[in-house]
Amino acid sequence: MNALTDTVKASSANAATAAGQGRAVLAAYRRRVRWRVGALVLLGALCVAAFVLDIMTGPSTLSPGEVVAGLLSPDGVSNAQRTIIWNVRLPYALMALLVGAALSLAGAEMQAILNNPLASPFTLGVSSAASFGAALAIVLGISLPFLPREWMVSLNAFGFALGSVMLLQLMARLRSTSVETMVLLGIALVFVFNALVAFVQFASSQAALQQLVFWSMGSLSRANGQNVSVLAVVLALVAPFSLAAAGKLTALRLGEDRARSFGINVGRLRFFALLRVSLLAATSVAFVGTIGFIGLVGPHIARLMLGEDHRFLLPASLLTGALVMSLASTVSKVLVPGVMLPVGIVTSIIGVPVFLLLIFWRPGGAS
Amino acid sequence: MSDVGNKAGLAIQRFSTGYRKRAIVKSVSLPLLERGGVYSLIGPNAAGKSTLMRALAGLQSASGLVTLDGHELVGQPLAEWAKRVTYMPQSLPQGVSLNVLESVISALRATPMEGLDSSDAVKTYAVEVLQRVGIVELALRNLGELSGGQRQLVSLAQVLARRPQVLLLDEPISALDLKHQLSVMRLVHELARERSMIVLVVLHDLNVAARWSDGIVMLSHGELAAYGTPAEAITPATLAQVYGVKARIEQCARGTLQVMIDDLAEA
Repeated sequence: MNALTDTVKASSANAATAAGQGRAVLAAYRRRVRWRVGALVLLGALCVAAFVLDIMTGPSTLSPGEVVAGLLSPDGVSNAQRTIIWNVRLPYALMALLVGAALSLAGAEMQAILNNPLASPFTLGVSSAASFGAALAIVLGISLPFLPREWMVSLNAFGFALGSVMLLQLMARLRSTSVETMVLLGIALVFVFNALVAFVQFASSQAALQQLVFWSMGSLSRANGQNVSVLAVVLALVAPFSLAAAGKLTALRLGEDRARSFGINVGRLRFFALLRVSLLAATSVAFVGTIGFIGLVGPHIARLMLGEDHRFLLPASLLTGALVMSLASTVSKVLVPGVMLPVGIVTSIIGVPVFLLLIFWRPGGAS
Repeated sequence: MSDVGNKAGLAIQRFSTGYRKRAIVKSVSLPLLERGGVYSLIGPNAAGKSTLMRALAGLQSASGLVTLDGHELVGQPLAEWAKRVTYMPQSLPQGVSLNVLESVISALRATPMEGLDSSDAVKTYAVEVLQRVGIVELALRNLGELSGGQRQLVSLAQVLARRPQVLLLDEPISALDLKHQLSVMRLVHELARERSMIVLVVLHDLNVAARWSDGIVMLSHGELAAYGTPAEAITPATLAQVYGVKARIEQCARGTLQVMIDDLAEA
């Protein structure tokens, strides 16, 4: 591998300068990597802080000390506090972190494989498909005999979300569709499913309509130990595969032909990335309804902070998504005193200004 | 297997490729391209140069024979091509938040490469490549901040770093100033000899092609229009026929060919 070094044609003085220059570049690069690791640790710490803040917030405010004590040694706090922390706020707070992490990671992968910064589970129809699935379950009351009705809504939402990604996948495979076409198909799916949801709403009863509207707002209120565990398991299973593909995803950013010529099977990479996206997005949406902008804003913040080396971008997206969602969950409890707003409303209210800020404030003015 | 199939080098015979049902490159056969040689692929717009290059990199399906040192490549999976042949597309995508060094490192890490087992080896080698291409001072600049010419040099560094046995360069100097055109062609020429690598390069400037090539492949409407040394392939007759221009070919005082275009060829 030193075929290049020993042929540097220069006087010994120049060679020494070149070696020094090389060392300086490597040192600077290593500093940058250390900074990125530090940024990931910082994001992790902020997530923990936001998580504690989320548990503190509510009709009866707890102190940070009480929350930490209540979580680490439940016997050390009063019965009432223990119940509030463990039974009421912990599932919500965990669900917020997990949903944020899952949607943001899904968005980051989608943006990489579709080469489009606007791609996210929300903008490409996954969430809309889930809404339609949930709407069918709620309004038509379809239910398998051995499943509680609440699970049926989630399962149906999951099925439709998974189906919509598979449909995208299928169309892409069918006639080697370009990436741009896939994005357009995704957008078309948003409109189709939104129209179908509207149709179901139009045809549904008053009671079902209310439930449906609430579902489509996106809310953490259905969080419980079971579905939090399911989402945690899905995230824990999928994330390592995402990280394992990080090197290939980064190389794909250099252009599809180039990446393929480097030996990457781009079709396969895309297929498995979309599979991961569909699992993450479908599971999240099935439990909390449609939550917009996290899948878009999380990866954008991560990219601005750390660039597009996906070994850092993917974990950073996961953390920024968790952080923003956790903060949104806190805000949803304090925005209107005494009322817990559906968190989906808050993410969009927070998400849009953040998004606009990111669009207009670009470091270096790069396009 | 053909008679040239077992010699060291790249043999291309009856090679055809295209999109869906439209044939773009039609049964191109070339004499053996030898290791260490620089070959220019020239021809007017839409002659099929890029399509031929992509197909030779295994990026699209093709028929015919392509053998490297006797190994048949047509019909092999992409991974087999990628081990031996690397293609440099005309451009790098816009709006990528990677710096120059990272982009070369990610090219090295895309799939495992021999002799680059440790993370340190990868980084050190990436810096060496940047030094060799002469852009080490750009190492920590973001790709988005670079000029078109600088991006082209980074693009070249990425493919050189892969150390292929066959390097396919699609218009590598189109955005470069005179000095950088010279230094890139000289570097490519040197590396071809050093690594005994076969370089096939798409060029528009016939004077550059004439000066740096061991052989010229002239393509017209997807078919081979002329092949040979620069003096054999670039003639007033082929230029009139393929490019539709009236040209003079003269030798300058130093012996290299100079192509001068005087007018459109008479129909």
